[in-house]
Amino acid sequence: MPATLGVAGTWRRGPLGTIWRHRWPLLFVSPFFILFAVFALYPIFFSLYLSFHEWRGVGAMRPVGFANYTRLFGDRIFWGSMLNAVILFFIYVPLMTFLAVVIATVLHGSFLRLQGLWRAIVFMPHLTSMVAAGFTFRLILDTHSGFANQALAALGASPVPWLDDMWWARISVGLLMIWAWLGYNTIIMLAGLQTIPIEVNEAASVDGANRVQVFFRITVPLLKPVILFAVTLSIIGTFQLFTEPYILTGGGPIRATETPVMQIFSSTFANLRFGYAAAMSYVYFVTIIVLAIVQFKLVTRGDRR
Amino acid sequence: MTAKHGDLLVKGVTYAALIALSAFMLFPFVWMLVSSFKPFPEIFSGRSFLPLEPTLANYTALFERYDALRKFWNSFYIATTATALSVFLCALGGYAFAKFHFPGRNAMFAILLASMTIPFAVLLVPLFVMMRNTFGWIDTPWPLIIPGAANAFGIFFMRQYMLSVSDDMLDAARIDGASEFGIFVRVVLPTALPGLASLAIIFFMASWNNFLWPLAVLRSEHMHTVPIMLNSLQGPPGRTAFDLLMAGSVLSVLPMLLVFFFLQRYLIAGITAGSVKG
Amino acid sequence: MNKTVTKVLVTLLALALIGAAAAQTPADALEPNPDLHATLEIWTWQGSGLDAQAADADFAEYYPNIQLNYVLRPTPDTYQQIQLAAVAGGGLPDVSNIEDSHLRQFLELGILYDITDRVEPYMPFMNEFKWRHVEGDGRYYGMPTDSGPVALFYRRDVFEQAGVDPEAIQTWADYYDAAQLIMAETGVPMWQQATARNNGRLFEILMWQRGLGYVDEDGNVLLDRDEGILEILEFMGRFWDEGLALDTEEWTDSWYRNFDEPNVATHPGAVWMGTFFKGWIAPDAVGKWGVMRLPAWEAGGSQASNDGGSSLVIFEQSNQKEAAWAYVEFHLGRTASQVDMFIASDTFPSLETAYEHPYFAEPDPYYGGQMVRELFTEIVQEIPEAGIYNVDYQEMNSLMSEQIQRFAIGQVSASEALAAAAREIRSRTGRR
Repeated sequence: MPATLGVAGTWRRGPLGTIWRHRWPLLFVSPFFILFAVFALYPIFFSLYLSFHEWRGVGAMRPVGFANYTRLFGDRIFWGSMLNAVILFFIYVPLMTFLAVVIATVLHGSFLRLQGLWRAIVFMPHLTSMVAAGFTFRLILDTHSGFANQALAALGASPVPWLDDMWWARISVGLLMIWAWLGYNTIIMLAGLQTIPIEVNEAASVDGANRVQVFFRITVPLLKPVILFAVTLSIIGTFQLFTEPYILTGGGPIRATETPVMQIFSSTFANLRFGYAAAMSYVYFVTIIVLAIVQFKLVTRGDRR
Repeated sequence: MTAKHGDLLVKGVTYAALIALSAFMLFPFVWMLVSSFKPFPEIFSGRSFLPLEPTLANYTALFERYDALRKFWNSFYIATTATALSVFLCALGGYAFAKFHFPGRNAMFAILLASMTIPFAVLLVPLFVMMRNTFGWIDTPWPLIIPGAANAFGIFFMRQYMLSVSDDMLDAARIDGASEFGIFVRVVLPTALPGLASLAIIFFMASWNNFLWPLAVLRSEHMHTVPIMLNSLQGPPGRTAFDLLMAGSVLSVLPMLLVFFFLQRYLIAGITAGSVKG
Repeated sequence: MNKTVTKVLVTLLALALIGAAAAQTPADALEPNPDLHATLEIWTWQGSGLDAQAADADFAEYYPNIQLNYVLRPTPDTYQQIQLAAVAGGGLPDVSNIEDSHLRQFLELGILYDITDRVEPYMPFMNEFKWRHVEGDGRYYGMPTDSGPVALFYRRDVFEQAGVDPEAIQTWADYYDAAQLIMAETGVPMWQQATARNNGRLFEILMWQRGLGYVDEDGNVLLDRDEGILEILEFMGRFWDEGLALDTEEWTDSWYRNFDEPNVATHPGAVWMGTFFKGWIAPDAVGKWGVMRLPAWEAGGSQASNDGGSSLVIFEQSNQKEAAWAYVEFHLGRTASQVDMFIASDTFPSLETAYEHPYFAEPDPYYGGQMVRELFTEIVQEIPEAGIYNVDYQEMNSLMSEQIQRFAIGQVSASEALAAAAREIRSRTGRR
C-alpha cells in the first residue's frame, strides 16, 4: 500500500487513473459484466469449443474439426426448423403488428370509454404462464373434442384439423402467439403514439381526411420506427420460440412446427449429440444476429427519413 | 349530420371489434375457469359449456396430493427475491449508462444489447454444469436468482427511464457533498420509482412463469415451482390430469392478475418508457 | 377308480408340486436384514408399478432401516434430469426405473453400476429377451421391471354384429379381410392409427413381431433392406387408403372415447393397455373386450411382440449400492413382490415364477371371463429378439415417424419413406 501511495501522482495519469476517475459508473455497471462474464461468456466459449468436438456428455471429447458444421449445412431437419421459424414469423407477425397498431390507435383516441379495461383485457394473456396457456389451447383446439370445432359445428361449419395438419398447426401456433403477445405489442405502439404530436392528426382531420385515411397516411408512416422496433423484437422472439410449440404441438405434424431451439434441445437431450447441438446453436445464433442487424439498419434508416 | 352519423358508425364498429377481440383474448381464461370446476370426464364430454356438476375437488386435490401451497410459496419467494435483487442492480447499471460518460461506455452498451439475442437454450448445458460443479447450487433457489440478476433487458429498460432524470438535481446533490452511491439511493431511486415498479412487475411475471431452467435445476419435489407442478401433471402413457391442470392454471394466473390490476398504471408507463427511445 | 390311474395322478400332482416348489428365486428365500441402513432415492413415473408401492410394506419388514424416497416425474423429465446429472458428474439418485427404449443411452454413458454377478442367479427366471436391453459387452447393468407382451384386443360386440369369428383370424391377410367385412357390415373401422401425428409405435410392434427392427444384429440399418418391413408399412397404408383406419392421435381424449363407443373394432397393443381400459377408458365395457394373439405374417409364424417395458438400474455414483441392490432384488426378484405389483397396477412381471401364482390362472371378468393373464404369460415367453431399442432409439423413432406421417398423408410411397428414414439414420448415427 505505501508503495502505491508513493507513486499516486504518476498512476493517476495512466490507465489505472482513468479507471479510478470513473470508478463510480464502472462500479455501477460491473455487476452486469461480472455476471455476464461468469454466466454467459464462459458458457458461450465453452459451446464454441464443444462445437468442434463430438461428445455424449460424459467421458472424453473427440475433436472433429469442422465436421459438425459441414454436416449441419446438409441437415434437412435443421434448415427445415429455420424455415419453420420464418414461416411462423410471416403467419403471425404481420397480422399481430397490424392489429397492435390499430388497437393502439383506437385506444389512443379520446372517444373511447373504459380505456383501462380494454387495455387490461388485451394485455391479460401476456400474464399467463405458457405452460398453462399451451395446455388450454391444446384442449380447445383438439380436432375431435375441442371447443373450437364444437362451436364451428354449431354454426354449421365443418371441423378444422387445427393440430393435425401441417399448415393448420402452424396457424394454431400463430394464434397462440397472437393471443399471448398482442397486448405487449399494442403497448409498444401506444408508447410510440405518445410521441406523435396531436396537432398532426387534427390538421389532417381539418383537411377533411377521414379516420381511415388519417391512419394509413399519417399514423402508420410516423409510427414506422416503432413498428420496425417491435418487428425486430418479434424476429428474435420467433427464432427463440420453444415452450409454445413444445406444449401445443410437440413440433408436429411432420415437423411443421418444429423450431430451431426445439432441434437444439432434442439434439442435446434426446440424442446426446452435444457437439452437434453446439454447432447448431452457433449457426442459429449468427443468423439471429445478422437478421437483427439488418432490421436495426432499417430502423435507423426509418429514423433518418 | 352526416359527419355525426359517420362518427356513430365508426364508434359502433370500433366497439363491436373491441368486443370481438376481447372475446378472443378472454375466452381461454373463461374456458380454463369453467373446466377447473368440472370432473375429469365432463371436460371432454362436450355436453355443456358450464359444469353440470360443479366441484371443488380439483382444487382440493391439488393442495392435498401435490402440496400446491408449498409450490406457490416457492414460486413466490423465488420471484420476490429475484425481482428485488434484479431491479436494484438494473437500476444501478441503467443509471450509470444514462448519466455518466466513461471510457468504453458505447462498446459496453453494444455488448449489453447483443447479449439480449442469446437464446437461453444455448447456455443451458454449460450453465447447468457450472451450477452443479462450481457453485453446488442444484436444488437451491440460487440458480433462479443470481445468474439473471443483472439482466441486459432490465439495464436497457432502466437506462431509457433514467435518461429523463434531471442533471441539475444530481449536480445539486453533488455540491451538497453526497457520495455517488448516496445520490443513487437517496435521489435517483425515489425519482425512478414508477420505472422500478414496472420493471419489478415484468421481472416478477417472468420469474413466476419461468419453466425450462427451473425444470433443470430444481430436483426435489418440495423445491418445485408452480409451472413445474403443472408440467408434472402430464402422466404418460396414461392420462394427463387435465382437471387438476386447469385448476392449477387458474391458480397460477390469479396472483398475476391481482398484481396487474393493482399496478396496471405503472406497468403501462414503464413499458412505454422502455420502448420509445429504443 | 382304477388304482393305476390314481397312482399316476398322485405322482403327477406330486411332481407338479415339486416343480412349483423348485421354481423359487433366490429372493424368495431372503432373510430379514435390519443391518442395512440407508435412505434411498428412487426415480420413476406414475403408473410404473413401483409408484403403487405394493411391495413396500413387505420391504419395510425385511429391511426396517432402509427408507424409500420416490421421485415421480413424466418420463422425458426423468431422462433429462439423468443426462444433466451425468454431464455434471453428480446428482443422480440411487435407483431409477428406465424404459428399455431409453436404457442403452445411459448404459453407454458408463454411469450405470455393473450388477452382472448379482443378476446372474436370476437370469433363468426372467423373460429372456429382456436381458438384451440391459447388457453391454457381456456385462449386465439393470434388472427387468416389467415386460410389454402385445396381443390383439378386439370388441366382441362388433365382431358378433359383423358375423366375424375371431378364431378364424390367423394371419394379417385374414385380419384385412375381416376389416373389410366389419366395415361393410357395421361401418366400424378396424383400428385407430393417426396419419399426420403417427408416433411409429404400431410400426415398431409389427416389426418386432417378425424379429425385424431399425437395425440388424450387427447394428446396420435394416429399414430399406428387408422386404418384410416394406410389407408392414404397405399393409398399414392399405388401411388408411381404404378408410379402414380411424385417424386419431394416441393418448388424446377422442382416442380413448373411440374404444368405449366403440368406433373401432380392434387394438393391437401391449398388456398394460388393459389397465387403462379397465381404469378409465372403458370401465363399463365389461365383457365387451376380448384378447387374442396377433395374427401371423405367414401361417405358423410368430404371433408375439413387445411394446414398452422397463428395467431398474443402480447408478455407479450411488454410495449405498448394497441397500440399492436390496431394493432392486426385493422388488423384482421376489415372486410375491412381483405378484403384488401386478395385482396393484397391472405392470406385467418379467419374472416368470410369478406366472405360477394362482392369480394368473384366474379368468378375468372384464374380458368376459377369458383367461387373459394366462394368454399373456404364454405370449411373453415367445417374444422374439428385435433391433428396435438401442442407443439411437429416440432419434430413429423420430426420423421414422416423420416418414410414416409423410407416407400416411400420401406425400411419399412406402419404399420412399423407408429409404428416406434409412438414409437419415445412416447420416446421423454413422451406421451402415
